[in-house]
Amino acid sequence: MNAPRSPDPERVQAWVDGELPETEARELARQLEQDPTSRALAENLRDFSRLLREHEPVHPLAESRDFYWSKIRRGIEAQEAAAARAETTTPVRVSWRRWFLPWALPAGAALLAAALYLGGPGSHPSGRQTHAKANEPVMTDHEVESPSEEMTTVTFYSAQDGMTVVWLGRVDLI
Amino acid sequence: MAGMPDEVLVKAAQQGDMASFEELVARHRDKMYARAFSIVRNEEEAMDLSQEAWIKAWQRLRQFEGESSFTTWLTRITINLCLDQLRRNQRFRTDPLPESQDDPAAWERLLPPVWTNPTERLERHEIRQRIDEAMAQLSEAHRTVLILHEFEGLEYKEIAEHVGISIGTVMSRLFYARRRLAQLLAGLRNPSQPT
Repeated sequence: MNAPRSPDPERVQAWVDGELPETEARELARQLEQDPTSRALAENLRDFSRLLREHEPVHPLAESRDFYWSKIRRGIEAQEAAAARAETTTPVRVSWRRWFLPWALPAGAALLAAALYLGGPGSHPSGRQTHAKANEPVMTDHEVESPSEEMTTVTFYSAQDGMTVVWLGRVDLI
Repeated sequence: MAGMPDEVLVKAAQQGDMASFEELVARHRDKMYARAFSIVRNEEEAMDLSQEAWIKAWQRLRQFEGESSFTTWLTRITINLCLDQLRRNQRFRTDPLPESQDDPAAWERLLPPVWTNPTERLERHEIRQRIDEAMAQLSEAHRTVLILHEFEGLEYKEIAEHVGISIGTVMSRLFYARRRLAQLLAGLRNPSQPT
């Protein structure tokens, strides 16, 4: 008849550490009663663990309270200054975009249309003023593009149709 | 302020009272430094990491709701910073010996079945010193698991999560670390005792 197999040493350790589920723990306890070697291992592990916990090495800090604290305080102040900088810059930019852009689109369109309609010294064949200079030949059917960081505008003037078309686009939507 | 309990100081610090936080630092700085040193085994690094832990603690203080003690919470921050540091520097190596020894005889070679405590007749501070010297000889990977279990009282599952290893690896590292440490201590002799 074969002798019962000894439990795995790591399982014995888990039992000592209280890491086994209840039924497994009960089963292992029964096995240990029949197995003096594993029982000795369990006792050794328990004793050794107690020895360590009761004699945790001590490592005193050599620096003075003030010196140790001063670096922490500087670190906190630096972090808070950085956070404050981020708060004062980021929200302004965000709010600028949020509030300015919806107004900028129609306002820009209106300004461009007005500039094309009234602003230039040249005259439209129909008698309206255009952006062309008076002494220059009137250019017809041409586009003017004015890109910006936030939005793009393309203006198309058709002399034949007597019409100006302005396209507006938001860069962040493209 | 010196007589105030931690909880009161923590609440005041959560409201932005830096003086209360400074008092907490004064009370627990030794423990945080000691924990950092026990893991990284370098005075300068341990100092920097423990101070960084305090800075992080200040930033996250509002998140602390008192589910554990303040020192437990703070120690976790310190430990995580130390583990990050070891990972960054690729110092999470194990000892050259295999972690898992399927052959029981191999374990017996590491430590006799009945371990007699060689530190019995030593003074308390001497035992501490010898344990410390022995722990310094363990690899970072083994030492960390041992510290988290024996000194921080973490369960296997918690250690596995902190270190980023499986529970099986926690078990084998812990077993190896204990045996290796016991072997190192068994080799020590009290200098005042005749050999």
